[in-house]
Amino acid sequence: MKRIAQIYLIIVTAVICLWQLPWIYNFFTVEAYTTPFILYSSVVDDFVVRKTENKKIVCSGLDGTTYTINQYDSILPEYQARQLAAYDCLPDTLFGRAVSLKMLTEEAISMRIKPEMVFGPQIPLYQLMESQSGRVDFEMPDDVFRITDSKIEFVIKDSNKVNEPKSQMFTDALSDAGFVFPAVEIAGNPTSKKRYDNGYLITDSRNCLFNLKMEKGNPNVQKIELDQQIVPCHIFVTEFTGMHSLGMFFDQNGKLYVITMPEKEIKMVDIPPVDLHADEVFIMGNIFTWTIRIKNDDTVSWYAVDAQNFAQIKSYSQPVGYEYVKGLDFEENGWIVPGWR
Amino acid sequence: MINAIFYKEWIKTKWYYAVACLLLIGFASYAGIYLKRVGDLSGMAALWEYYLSKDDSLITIIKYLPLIVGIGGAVFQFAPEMHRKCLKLTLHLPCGYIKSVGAMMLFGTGILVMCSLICFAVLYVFASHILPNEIVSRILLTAIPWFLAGFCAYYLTIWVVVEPVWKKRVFQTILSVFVLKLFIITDTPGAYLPSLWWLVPLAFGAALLPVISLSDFKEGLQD
Amino acid sequence: MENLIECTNLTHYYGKRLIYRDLNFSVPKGRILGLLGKNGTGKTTTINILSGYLKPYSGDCLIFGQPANAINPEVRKKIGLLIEGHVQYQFMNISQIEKFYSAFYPGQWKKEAYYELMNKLKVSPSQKINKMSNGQRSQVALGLILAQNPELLVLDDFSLGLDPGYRRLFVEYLQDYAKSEGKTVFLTSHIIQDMENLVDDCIIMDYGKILVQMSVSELLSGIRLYRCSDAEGDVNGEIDGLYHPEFLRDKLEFCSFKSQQDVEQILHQHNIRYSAIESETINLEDAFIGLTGKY
Repeated sequence: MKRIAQIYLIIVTAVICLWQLPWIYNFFTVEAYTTPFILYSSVVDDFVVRKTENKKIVCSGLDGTTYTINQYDSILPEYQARQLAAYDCLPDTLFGRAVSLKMLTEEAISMRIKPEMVFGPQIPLYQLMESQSGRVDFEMPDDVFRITDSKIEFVIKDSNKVNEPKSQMFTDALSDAGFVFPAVEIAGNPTSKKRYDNGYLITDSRNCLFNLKMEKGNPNVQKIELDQQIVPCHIFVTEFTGMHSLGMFFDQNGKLYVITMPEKEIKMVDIPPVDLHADEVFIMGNIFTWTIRIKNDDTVSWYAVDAQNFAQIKSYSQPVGYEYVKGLDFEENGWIVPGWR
Repeated sequence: MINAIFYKEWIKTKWYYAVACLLLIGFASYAGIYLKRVGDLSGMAALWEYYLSKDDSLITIIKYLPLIVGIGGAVFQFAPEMHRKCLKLTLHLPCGYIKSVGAMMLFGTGILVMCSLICFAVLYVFASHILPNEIVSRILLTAIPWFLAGFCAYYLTIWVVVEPVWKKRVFQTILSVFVLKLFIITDTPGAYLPSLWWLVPLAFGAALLPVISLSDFKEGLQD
Repeated sequence: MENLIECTNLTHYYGKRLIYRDLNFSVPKGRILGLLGKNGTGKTTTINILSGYLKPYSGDCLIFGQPANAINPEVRKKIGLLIEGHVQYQFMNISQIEKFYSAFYPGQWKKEAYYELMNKLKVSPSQKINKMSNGQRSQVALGLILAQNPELLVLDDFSLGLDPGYRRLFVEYLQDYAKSEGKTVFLTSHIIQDMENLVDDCIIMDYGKILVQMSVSELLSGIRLYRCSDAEGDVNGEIDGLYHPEFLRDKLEFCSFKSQQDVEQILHQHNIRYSAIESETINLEDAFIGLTGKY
């Protein structure tokens, strides 16, 4: 018995040392690292870096060319439209296309995908909003839904009871659209702080993709045609103000796809596969180009892609500028999971 | 013989465990009533939306309570045994020292299990009335590592209290603090779900450690 | 005669401090053995080794033929243990503690022996032990041992903290019980006068060694206190055969197991001059002081 107790003690002591000693070392030695803010400029056809040095904003190209803040605004007119418009410097046309401040601001997109958003602990209950309420402001629904092995169930918040007629109606609508229960992935943006509602993107047990909306209290289910080899694994409903996309998803190989609107066409984004377990994705875009930043513990990469066909224009990578001693860590994407990190 | 040891432990700790049980049940009831009141005052819809959008279980008021009850239980059970080395009497009982001290720990564990089950039942009754199963299970899952910390703290405290060598006691206390920290790294509801497989043996495996201190005691080790 | 306790070549250190080296003794069945020594000579150490709460540096200690640190429960039933200071579970009362212990000794527990002693204390059965005086606590501890009815009693400094009345009560009860039931007892005490009528055999320890190991009757018949008048000479350093010779003005006092003739020869060899020498028999306490010294 004493021998078993000693083995237990040795294991626990080793675990605590492997966990706490690297942490203490890193706490005292690791220096702060700020990822530079980089955007692709169609004007100079290169990435432009903006960072703060000695409390001053410094802008430069990757080749070392330095820019004043005004030059920075002018080589990124699609991003700095408000600044340019304030001083009446916003051009009428950009790259042969007529533009306005309203258009540029409405078409600007920004999206961040962190591993914990994808893999973190989530309660499998969802709120389906009314897409055609006739009101400007959205209201949160008075029920939530869950998808079981054989149906979709709406539970009324006030009574904690299942709304059987609504559940039956939506189950039938899904089944009629070819949905085979249960669901594998369910994605939506249940928030009242948005301009319009794209409902939910859901994959069924055969990995077919469906768009579920509620319009005037009735279900609207549409199947989105996919190439059979594409399995949507991590789905995001976008609801960008420009209304050019319904959503995005990463497939089983980590490739990123955009579901365009209104034709609901699937377009692959020409960037390397993403490992969402480790990579954080940040997208900033406009009507001409998107700059996609992919960052993990070792490297940070920027990709410029065309906003229409998502073909890659340029890329740039640099190592993450800090080093730390790896050790036993228990936190991963919001879960408590032991690992060597 | 085991009944006699239970009888001794009952005489020694009945008031402590009665108060500790009442405290645990009281706080669990308060947490349950608090959920109900939030629902009544802000509307059930707001309560549901809060759970669906925030990483909060709304029952963190009971987070450290099982841990404190576990430590207290060990102190109330074993500090009197160490007073004037009274433990020698227990170890001299004709039933083997592992059996006699094991029975004492079984008594404490049994009461802690009972308290924990009552707490979970109270929380379940209050929460399941107003919240769906998915949220209720997430709330209860959040509390599991806190209660496991209570068991682990109980065994670790026995390990420290019974140890006769002060230098070892210091090491044991420091190690115990870090071990207990493993159970309270995050309050994110359900975050511990993938780690219950190793947290349970970690918590209950600590019940082995007092054997080392007892061995030191029996060998007459001292600073 | 069967030995219930057998210790061979016991050596123990606390850190680098030697307590004793190669201590050998045995306690035959039915005998009462007293371990006598000044503070710090290793009495409690020996009791701790015997009761399995101290691992000796080297040597073996067998009780009922089993190593003291690994005695099985059946043999433990035959051993009654009194811890220094009459320690018992303070949180229990008189009837609770009896009820508790009785469960461990089915078939041998003598409840009436315990309550007979408790009745003499005139305390209520619900009286808690932590509310009792040292004397009353000693009677509870003794009562529990009597009720246990063990074959071997190991008693560590039973006189500690007791006033003369309770000491006498304890000794009388123990003596009567041990003699009438043929029990074997191993005990220590720092009050030697209690031991004279109680113990059959004694071990007198000095720092690091055993001075004397024999029956009390043998000790008291053999040892003499010698007094020399008008004495002169140097008694610094040890003189073989004479224990702690000490001058009081012109008188020299010491103890010895030797005859007067042998003593005189030793004194002559060490150039100690005197006008007259006389000897007398002494009691156990004087013998203890004579053998171990006053300091």
